[in-house]
Amino acid sequence: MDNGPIAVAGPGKTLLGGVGSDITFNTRYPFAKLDSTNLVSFQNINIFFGYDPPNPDGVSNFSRVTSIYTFKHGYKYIPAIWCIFQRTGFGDQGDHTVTKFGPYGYENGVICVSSVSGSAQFARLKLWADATNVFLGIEKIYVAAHPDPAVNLSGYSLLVRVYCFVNDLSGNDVPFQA
Amino acid sequence: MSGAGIFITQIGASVPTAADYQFVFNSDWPSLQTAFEKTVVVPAGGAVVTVLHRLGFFPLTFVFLTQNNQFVGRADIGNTDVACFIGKQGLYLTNNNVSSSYTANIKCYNLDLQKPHDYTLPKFPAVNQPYDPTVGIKVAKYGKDIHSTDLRDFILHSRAQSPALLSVVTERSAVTSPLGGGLERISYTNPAGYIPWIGGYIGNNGTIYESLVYNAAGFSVQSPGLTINPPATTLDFNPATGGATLIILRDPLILPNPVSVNFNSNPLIGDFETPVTGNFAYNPVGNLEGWSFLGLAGVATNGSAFNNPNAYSGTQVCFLQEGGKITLSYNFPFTGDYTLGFVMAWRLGQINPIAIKIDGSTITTYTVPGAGWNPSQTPSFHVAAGAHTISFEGTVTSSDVTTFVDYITISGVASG
Repeated sequence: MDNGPIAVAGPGKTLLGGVGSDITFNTRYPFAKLDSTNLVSFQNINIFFGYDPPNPDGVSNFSRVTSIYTFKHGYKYIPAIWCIFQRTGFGDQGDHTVTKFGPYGYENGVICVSSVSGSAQFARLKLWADATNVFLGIEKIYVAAHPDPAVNLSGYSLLVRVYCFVNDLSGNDVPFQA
Repeated sequence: MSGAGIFITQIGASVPTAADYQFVFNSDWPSLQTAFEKTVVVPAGGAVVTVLHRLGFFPLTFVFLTQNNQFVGRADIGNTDVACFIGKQGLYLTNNNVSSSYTANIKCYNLDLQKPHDYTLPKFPAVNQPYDPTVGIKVAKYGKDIHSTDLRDFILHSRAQSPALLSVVTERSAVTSPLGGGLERISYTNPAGYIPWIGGYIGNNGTIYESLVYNAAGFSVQSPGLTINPPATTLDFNPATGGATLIILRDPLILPNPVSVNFNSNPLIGDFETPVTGNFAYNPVGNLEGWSFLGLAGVATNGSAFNNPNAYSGTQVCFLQEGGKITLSYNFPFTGDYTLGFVMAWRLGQINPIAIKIDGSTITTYTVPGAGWNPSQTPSFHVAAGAHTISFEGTVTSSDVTTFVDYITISGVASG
């Protein structure tokens, strides 16, 4: 690997033979950076659903997104974003959501399924962002012709972890790239 | 800590005595460095886009997707249209959407998915830390000013923290999966009281792709697949088609003192961020909140030719010109008394009072009182549980006047 002017190999590794994460510091490559002075960089959001987000009508519209939380990320560009969530208090609604999917999911992951018959109505966490804000919402998928009811999120919670990186999506982060 | 290397601690901690979690950077363990980055368009229709990274190993890779200047999710995970297969020298992206292309920003990190690591000592991130510009270390990118305040200009900056590696588990430690069917399983036992950030990757004919923790369609369990669970995370895979890797970062999933959002109080039902328009559009179709736009009604983005103010929330607003009208069928969860909150603004001083109706009956008519966004709410109204139609409607049909609307919320209390 071609290292930059300053490079440090990890314990037991050499600069000449090191590949990938063997080189723990390398001025050739910028770090993924989270501003440690900015709480938004590590946003943790606990969402309690005392109220069930609205369903699509299931006839002409099978998907409906309800915005539930927006925060300003503080940058003037679209940052790289990671998201992961934990479901809390979700009971089974016919399809054993937590049992089957586990309590954690990534952005746009399913948070609840209602499926006794297997037709599967479900809701998932939506995350999107522009150059100012990060948006969290719930997308509910409901088809009236299917026998199962729409999922009901009342009484449940999501604990959402969002990383907003200083690194943007312009494609210009890595210097000297071939 | 080894004797040599680069070590940066939080302010107030010294390198020889600092606890693991007090290190902002420690060269004893790898932090994520971006080894390759490229932005490409992935066209609709399934054609394979090849991007050569030439790193010589299978890099941990995230592909961030944007459309109309909005981040809409990551390939494989946040977006089910675009898939990314990771090779030793290149990446292969496909887009199964037949009509919409995506712009993909690819970040390959300096971490080999096939090389196992096993570090210990979970490290909590330095959240909301003070920063003293007189101490620490900064390494600027070539040609960038070392005094820049834009953290993007730096390779390393002690004000910034990078996710660091805890462990990499590969198929070399696999055992027979209890799921049967010839599957094998790799697993990672979480430190006590600590669920780290974990990603799972599965091999497939010489390439690697990110494994889901859910079935994208939501219909059944993805098997084989990744399951994050305390006390351990498991990844089941088919050894006949390739290997598997778990990436475990040093950052816990859950931190104390989260922001609390109570969806009971005033859910946002009208933000009008969709459909995205580059300027303004009458009667747009595809509002994901479910609003319908009738007559001279639509959405406008910041800076549009419609002379709207910048959005109160997000980047788009609704406009109601003359008798333009928006409607939403809303499922009121209980019988009770409700209130709608909203903000409105005039267009160039024009006056178009807006009638707010439930099932066609006017609750109130609101007139924008002055410049800028004006927050207000309706009087409370009583409805029975179930679907009712909310509408906002311009009342002046005799002249070209417009009112802008944004940030419609609803709150209610149950009553008989």
